[in-house]
Amino acid sequence: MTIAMTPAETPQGPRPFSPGLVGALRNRLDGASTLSAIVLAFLTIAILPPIAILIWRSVINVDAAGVMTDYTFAHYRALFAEEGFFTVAWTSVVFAGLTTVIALAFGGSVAWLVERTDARFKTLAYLTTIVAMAMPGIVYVTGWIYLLGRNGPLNMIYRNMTGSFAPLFDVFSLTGMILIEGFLWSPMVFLLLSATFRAANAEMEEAARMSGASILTTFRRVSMPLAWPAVLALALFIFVRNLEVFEIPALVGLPGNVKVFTTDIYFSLKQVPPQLGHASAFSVVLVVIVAVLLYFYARIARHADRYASVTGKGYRPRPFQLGSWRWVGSGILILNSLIVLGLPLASLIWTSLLPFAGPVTARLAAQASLRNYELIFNAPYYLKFALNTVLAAGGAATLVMLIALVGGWLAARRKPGGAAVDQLSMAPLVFPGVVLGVAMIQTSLRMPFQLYGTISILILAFFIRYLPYGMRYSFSGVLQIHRELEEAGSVAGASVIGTLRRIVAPLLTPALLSGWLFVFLLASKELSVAILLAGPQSQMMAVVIFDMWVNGQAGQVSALGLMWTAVMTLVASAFYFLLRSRTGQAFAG
Amino acid sequence: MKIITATLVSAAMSALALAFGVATAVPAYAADQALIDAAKKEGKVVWYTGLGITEAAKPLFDAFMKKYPGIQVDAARYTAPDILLRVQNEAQAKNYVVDVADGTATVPALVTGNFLDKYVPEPAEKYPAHLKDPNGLWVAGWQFFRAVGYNTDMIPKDQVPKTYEDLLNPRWKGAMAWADDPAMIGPPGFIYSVLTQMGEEKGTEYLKKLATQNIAKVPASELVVIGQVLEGQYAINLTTLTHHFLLPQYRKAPGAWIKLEPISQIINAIGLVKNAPHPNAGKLLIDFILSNEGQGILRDAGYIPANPAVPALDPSLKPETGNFKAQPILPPDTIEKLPAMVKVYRDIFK
Repeated sequence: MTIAMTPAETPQGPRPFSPGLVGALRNRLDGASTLSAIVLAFLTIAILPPIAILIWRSVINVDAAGVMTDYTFAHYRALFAEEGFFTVAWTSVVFAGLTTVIALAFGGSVAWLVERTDARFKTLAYLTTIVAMAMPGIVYVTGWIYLLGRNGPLNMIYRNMTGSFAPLFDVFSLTGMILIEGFLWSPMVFLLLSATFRAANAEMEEAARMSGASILTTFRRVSMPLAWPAVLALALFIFVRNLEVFEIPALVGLPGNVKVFTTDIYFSLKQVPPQLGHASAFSVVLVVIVAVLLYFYARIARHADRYASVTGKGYRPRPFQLGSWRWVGSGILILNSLIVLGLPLASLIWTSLLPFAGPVTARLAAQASLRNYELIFNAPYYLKFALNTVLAAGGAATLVMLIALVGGWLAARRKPGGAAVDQLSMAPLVFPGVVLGVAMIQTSLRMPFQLYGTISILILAFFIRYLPYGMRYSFSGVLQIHRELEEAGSVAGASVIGTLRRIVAPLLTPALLSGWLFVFLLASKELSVAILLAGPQSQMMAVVIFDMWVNGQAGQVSALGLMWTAVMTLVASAFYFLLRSRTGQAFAG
Repeated sequence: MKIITATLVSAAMSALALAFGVATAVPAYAADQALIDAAKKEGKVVWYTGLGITEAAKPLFDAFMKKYPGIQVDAARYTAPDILLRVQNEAQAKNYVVDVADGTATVPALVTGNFLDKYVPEPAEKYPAHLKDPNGLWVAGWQFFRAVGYNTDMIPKDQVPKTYEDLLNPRWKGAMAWADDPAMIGPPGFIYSVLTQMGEEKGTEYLKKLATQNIAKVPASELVVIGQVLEGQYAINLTTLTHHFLLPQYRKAPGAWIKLEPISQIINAIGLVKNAPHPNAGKLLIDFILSNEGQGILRDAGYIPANPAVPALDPSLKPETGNFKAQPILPPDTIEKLPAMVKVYRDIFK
């Protein structure tokens, strides 16, 4: 039996020489290169204009109409001449660093317990994660600000005990910021790390245990060293994201006069007229710092692929039997759920039942009612925002995972152009959200189709923002598929597209679906870009909730926030259980 | 005799009723039919507003759409810098979307950038001169009065600060807050009042002393801050907008404001944007908002209407009927003074 191989369909073998211009092109381009070129072109058109606009804006002056008057470096000069610049830099580093530590401690311990041991209450951990991720940031932060705030239970208990007016703990401080942001991140860390731990190369651990090593020794000398690069890469990723985060420094840091990098950008954009030159210059400096850090991240992440591999042979990682330590493990899971979700949820439920967010007293409890919920139920136009949000988030997630499927494969398999695709798709990480919004207004107004003011521009903005996350899922998913499966395909005569479609995509489905859900949940609560970019007909739920918060409607913020979280949790849970039932335990991204 | 008396009495009653009715009946504003037809042909109006959508903008545009079926109102709420960014970018790209814009800080910036079209709505013809632009670019829609507010549960009547000096009492250290809003309704407005009242030198000295009182800068609107004061997180709000106590959620809350004069009277103006894609619908919307009907809707939502014929829910909130000294801050004043006041704010209250 001969295997027919046509020249154009052998991605890895040599091809016979084809004459002429078309032939010359065909000689140079094989399937993978063409794919790279297409993906690169798309990414360039999507991602580079905002960056270009950012740089351009940082070197121009504008008049009252926003029209450019001249070029200048004054914005950069003013930046470095600003007093307290290095204090701000140091505060930013401390904030980002300690937040990373807390997020890793909470999320990482839960990830390991759930994926690699036989601790109980694993479902609780997943449920906590889904609900926490479904909850918009502003709602989560509101819950914590109340809990730790002057009127909250913590300080009220202290005040009642000591009789002083001054609170024990001021939530509007660097400590408050670190705690809240750390808790906010730990569900995401759990998801990202659990993917790594789940597909652990169990053979080495098995070997260690068969040689007589205890759980602790195995963990210390086999599991940790193997996992270390992945954990370090993730730590760097979180650190970078926290250097650019807006919401917490604005909502929690400002009242306490704690300033980080993004505080300055926020101030300059809040003025009338907005100081775009200053904000852009600052953003460019931030972009450069973050780009350097991301370079190191990329190098470490490359090492991480040694940790996991799924071969064509069947395998099943065996969870550790914790034995008498099982109750400790289970207890940690419960404690984590309580702290990361239980407490803020309780505070939100409490404030949603009251006309205003007062202290926990019997007198106030007597005023509890469902009025806030009624107000929202009786206003059918919230449905429109919900629909817009689901459309925009779903559209963005789909677009992200489509590109990530191809891009992740090209990058993970080191195809020609793959490295460029990898780097370009990570570029959006350096962008502070609000500045992206400003840049995209400009680009969208000038596009041939009227995308300005529609949901489509939001889909594009969310795509840019969350592509790095989707790529990460796809990249690690591809790494876990051993090459021999694809090689078998190409030996049998499949083209690049054919390999992708019939071998890689089905095996990558769990990773792709997990990535889709992750991006969907993140995009559904995105605030800093949506706040500027959403038009009257394309308003997002997170912006509506934020508007309510700005208007002092605290009870309705909690009520609408909880209702929205419930809806998104249902959607995500349905999705998640569908995913688990179809794909079982193996390969899940 | 009885019949005559009865007839006389009923005639008198009818006359009285008629007179009473005429005196109190608010003359309904009737738009020019040509304008209505042109607006209906356009079918839509896009409005960028600073008003909260659920409590104020929605009742307004729901009533508008009921009155003029066939004209869709697309309204969205943005902060002043965001409205300016959108208008600027739309103009530069020549991709015009918005028709009507409003805002205390927004309209001055739109005037400076030459983004507004001249339009003097009919209801505004009866407005006093200081509530509309001499060039016809904007008209006052509603107004805010910035005063000092406090929690009446936390401060007994005899200890309420009555002068600026009283605010320097060490008792209030850490107990005061204001909204971190670089607008005349925020700290810059307070600073402007102080400097106007005390003069530049003494005023600056006073402000520096005030800064040592550690006033909390809440990164939210004035409404959030008064909420926090009413909840008991702080005792005093230096950027209280007096109409906040008329809003449904705070009518029964323990709050009051002090007549610490001068009280800044900040005009929230509304105007037609240049090159509006639906100019006639835009004009109709502005007319409606400024008419007695529209102003009545704003009043019921707790705002203080600018239209002199429409009182606020609490008449004592307008200077004419409330007996307090107001310092009007009109768009030209904002254009001229705001940047300097923001600078003072940022320099002294770090």
